[in-house]
Amino acid sequence: MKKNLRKAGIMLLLSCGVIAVHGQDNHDYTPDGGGWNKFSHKGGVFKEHRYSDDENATNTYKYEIGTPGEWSFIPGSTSYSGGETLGESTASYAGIQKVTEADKEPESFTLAMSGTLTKESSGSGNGTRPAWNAEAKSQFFYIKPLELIVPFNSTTTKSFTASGSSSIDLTSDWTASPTWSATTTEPKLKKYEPIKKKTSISVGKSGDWNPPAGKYTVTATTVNNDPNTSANANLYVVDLDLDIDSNNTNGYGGPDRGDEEDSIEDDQGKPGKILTLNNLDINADGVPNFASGYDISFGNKNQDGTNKSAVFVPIVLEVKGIDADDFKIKLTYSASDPAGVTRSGDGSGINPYSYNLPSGNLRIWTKNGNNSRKKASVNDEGDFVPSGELITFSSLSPNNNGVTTLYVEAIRASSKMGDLRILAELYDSDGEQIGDLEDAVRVTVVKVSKITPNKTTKVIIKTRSEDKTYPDKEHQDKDQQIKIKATITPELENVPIYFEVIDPDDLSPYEGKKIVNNTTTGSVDKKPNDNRDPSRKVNGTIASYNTFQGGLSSHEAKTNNKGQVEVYLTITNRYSGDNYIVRATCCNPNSSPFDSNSAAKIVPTNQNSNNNGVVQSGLLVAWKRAYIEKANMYKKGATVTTASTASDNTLIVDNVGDFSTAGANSKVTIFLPPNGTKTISRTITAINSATNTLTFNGQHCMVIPEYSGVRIDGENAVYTNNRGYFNMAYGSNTDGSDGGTFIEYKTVLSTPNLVPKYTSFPNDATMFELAYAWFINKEKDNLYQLLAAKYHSDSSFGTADPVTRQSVVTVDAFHVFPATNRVQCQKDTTSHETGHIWGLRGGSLNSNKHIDNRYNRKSHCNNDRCIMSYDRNRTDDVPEFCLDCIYSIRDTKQF
Amino acid sequence: MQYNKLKLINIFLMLFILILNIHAKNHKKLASIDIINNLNNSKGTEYFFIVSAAELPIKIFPLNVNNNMTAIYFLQNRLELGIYKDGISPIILEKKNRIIWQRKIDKRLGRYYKWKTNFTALEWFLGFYGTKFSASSHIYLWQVDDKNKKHNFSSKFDKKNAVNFKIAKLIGVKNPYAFAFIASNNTSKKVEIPDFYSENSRLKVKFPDDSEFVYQPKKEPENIELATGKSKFVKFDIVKLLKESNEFSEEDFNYGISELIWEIKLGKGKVQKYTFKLLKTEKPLPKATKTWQGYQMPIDKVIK
Repeated sequence: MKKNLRKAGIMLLLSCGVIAVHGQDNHDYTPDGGGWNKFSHKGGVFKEHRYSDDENATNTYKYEIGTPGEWSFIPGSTSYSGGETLGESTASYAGIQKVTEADKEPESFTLAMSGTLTKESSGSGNGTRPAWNAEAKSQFFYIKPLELIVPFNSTTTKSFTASGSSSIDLTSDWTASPTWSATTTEPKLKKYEPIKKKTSISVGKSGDWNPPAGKYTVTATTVNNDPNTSANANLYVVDLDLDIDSNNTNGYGGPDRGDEEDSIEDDQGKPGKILTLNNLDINADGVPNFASGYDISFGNKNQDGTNKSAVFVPIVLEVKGIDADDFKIKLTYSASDPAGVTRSGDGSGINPYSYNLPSGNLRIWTKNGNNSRKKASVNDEGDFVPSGELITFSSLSPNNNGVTTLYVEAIRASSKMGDLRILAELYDSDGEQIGDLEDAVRVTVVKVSKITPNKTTKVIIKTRSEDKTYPDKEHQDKDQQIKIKATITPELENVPIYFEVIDPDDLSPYEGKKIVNNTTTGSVDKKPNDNRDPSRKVNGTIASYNTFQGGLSSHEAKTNNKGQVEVYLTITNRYSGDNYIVRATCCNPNSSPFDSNSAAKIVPTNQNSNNNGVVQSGLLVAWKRAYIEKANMYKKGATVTTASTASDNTLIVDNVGDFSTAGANSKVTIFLPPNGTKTISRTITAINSATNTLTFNGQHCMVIPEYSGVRIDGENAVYTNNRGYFNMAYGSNTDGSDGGTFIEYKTVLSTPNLVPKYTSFPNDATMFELAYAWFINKEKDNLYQLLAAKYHSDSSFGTADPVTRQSVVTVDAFHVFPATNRVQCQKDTTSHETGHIWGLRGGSLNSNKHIDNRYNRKSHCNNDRCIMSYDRNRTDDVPEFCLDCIYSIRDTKQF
Repeated sequence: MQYNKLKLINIFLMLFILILNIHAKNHKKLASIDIINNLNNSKGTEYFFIVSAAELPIKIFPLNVNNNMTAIYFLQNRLELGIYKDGISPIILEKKNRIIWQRKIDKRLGRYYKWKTNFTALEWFLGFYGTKFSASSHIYLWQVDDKNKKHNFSSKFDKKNAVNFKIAKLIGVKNPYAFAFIASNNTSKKVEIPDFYSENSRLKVKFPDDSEFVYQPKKEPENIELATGKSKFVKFDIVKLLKESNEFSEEDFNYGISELIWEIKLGKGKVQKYTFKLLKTEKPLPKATKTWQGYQMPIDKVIK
């Protein structure tokens, strides 16, 4: 709705100089007209009079009375009525009248004089000095203003009244707009009154009233329309209009200045113009936009200059109908003084610079953000438009139409929608507010208040189709991809949020960094752009930064009705440990890095800056997930080494020792690969140790394939593996600070598959054939079999086949170690064999620089005992990889 | 002063070169390795892997265990034919001894595996236990498939921007003497190479008794053109070629290690020799050659 309040009629009687001469009390007038008539001065009729806005001002009127013909007048005495005599008359004038309080001026007053007339020339009266009396009767009338400045609104009409000693007629010249209306009030007719008089007039009408700005005149004349007897009252219609792109159709452009904007510009229930925090750093010099581009210094470096800040949003102020020098404007808003920005911190990585803002949400400037500005007030020849100060309109450089464009910079977010009001008010040159003339717009400063995941989060590179579970279910439901949710406050719809992804420092201690906690001081290893995936890595160039951004599904998305946006980040497809942070802002970065923390270029030493309010996700760390099919070998029983027919009742097995111990007639179960669900219960009737043959109490009734098992009922103990070192070897801390390889393991079977006992594998082929027969998920991607078996004839502790993805730990082989160390050794070997599954080949020949802070030992430092080394110490509790192995695992494809 | 500095730098440089030489010599002295085709195996897929120790005993893992690994390259994809074991002790190969393993390279862990491309390379990499030194060798295998007329002879071992010459053992043809010479132009321009069996591209066989068969029916030096990215090859049966000579026969392979040699003379008299070793034994070698420990024997004893 267009605010009618912004229009004001300024009614000025007789002189438009009323404002300019404010304070001048006394004015002299020479009444016009007059003349002699039968020795009676007819008197002057004021055709105009001067009015002061101070109704208590003193006005002085002077009469000058000329003498008739060639006569000279020698004043004798004067008398006045209706006024106050200020002094005696002189030869040149008859007298003066002073009246105090303009609105109390008499409608008429009389000057009476007596004196002598003299005449130089001859004639009948020559030489005589007739006495003479003259009387001047002045008629006086004026239009009484109701108020000096009359704001018009939709429901108010304003009246002008005239009063005087003669019949008065009021007219007006407002014809320019059909919305103008004027009505006159007919006074009651008095008896013998010859002509009707109109002594009051009203302007305005009910309903929208929108007269063009400018000067209008109300004229009072005597009823006989004597041109010498008139008085004018000037009506100034002043148009005050403050506009901004309230309907948010023009981005960083100016307002359309149409009705659509006007109708909502000060609607408390609407956001008005949505502004975004100017907290990026477009020139990536470490100083945020809000502290750049104007004459403020940090560390003796003046921050003024062009193109150091994002552009601001134009706000247009228009005042029409009055000269720009003749009034002042006041803007009232939640201002933040640009001179009040301070800097803390020392610019180091551990204590980066923070740029601290004084209170207030907005700044209004006379220049746009990409220009070099002065932080001083426009009243002090600066470019900042302060709040609450009167500013001569002409100092805002309006054009000939009274229009000036200012610029709004947002630096602190709104607490609720539409809470920030910018109010413009008009004041006269003396600082008096011109009526209630005002116009206002509302703005809402939005910011990204939250981005999730906001904690350090594992992002799983690859899962099995049977397992689509992820550590952060809310944000990941698909391999290699994480959902990023950003929320703005106030929660507005359709607001663009811009995203960027950066590559923060790898926190693995083996990266050679010095770990620094939050409170200590000292050097800090801040090495962004250290991802290993060459296709998702920034190398300090804008081109690589832009390529890196390709991981985001979108760099700009608009909020839904909850003020939220979701985008997706696609991470590396193989390089575990690569990490990412997604940042979000409402401020349009124009496809450029947000700031110096974008790491698109190298930040100078000791110029580190904090995020300055740019919200960022938690550390998103790529983790591999591998699946283990656990298999445990029975401690009692045997493996069928030769397939048997259904009609047979014997089985040749690898070893009959356990059955001999159990004795004949022991009850057994024959169970078939791959999962042992097919079983036959039998009783052993005979044992042949020479041929390793078992005879049962009945036929098999089904074919018994090679590598089936025979277990002794009730003997259910199994060999087990111990993955107790996995966390140390492969990592546990999501951010990698424990020095792992960023791999997590998950078992695929609810209970381990139970494999028949094979007393001693004669060779690798037999071992892997048995394991393979009992490998339920064989040849499935991303999955390997980990079998705890008894013993291999070569005394090896464990064997791995990366091709078939099987590893077998032969538990009994650890008996070569003291009993107290066997568990350690087995855990060590289990990690080692799994390393082979990741393709590690026989240990690194390079020196090892791996330092594990978790255990605070340097056992791996230049003294290689990498877990993949065959010479390692299996009992040192350090089951870790050398750097080569770590990076090999991190870089390798998922098996 | 400046001169003294230069002198000092020079001395350091010489010392450095000397150390490198010593290293290289030590490396050379450690052992040599050979992949030798078993001519007794008609399928062409059985090979002997022989490590010959020099002046020092060396420690090595069993064949196809840990750092002693053979692998088949299907183009760039590597299929290791062995496994990794934790907790086994290395084998000690005494000085001036050799160790022989005999393996079928189309099987791993007792099972045949899928042959993914017709043309493959077999690599043997041997890292000597406890040292930084290693040795490697490779041969080429061509499983002839007449249905597939398109041949891709590229290999991980190809030299870039060069003409690559390869001797390939034909497998799956039930002929232990079937081989091929292959020339591939990996340069960016058309090249000319000596035509097969011409004066500058001769086939030679060096038999166990040091006699030598040369096959060169084209008397004059002839060249053939080879466009960029193209290959030319010739398949041959050694025995057939021997018969043409009326001097040599299959019997000349009895018994011991022979060498099939492709001798190519390129410009400026430069001769390149490509060799494929062959072994025909009178009797099967000891069973130990098929075990993980292998069979050890002195290097001065002839394998027959």
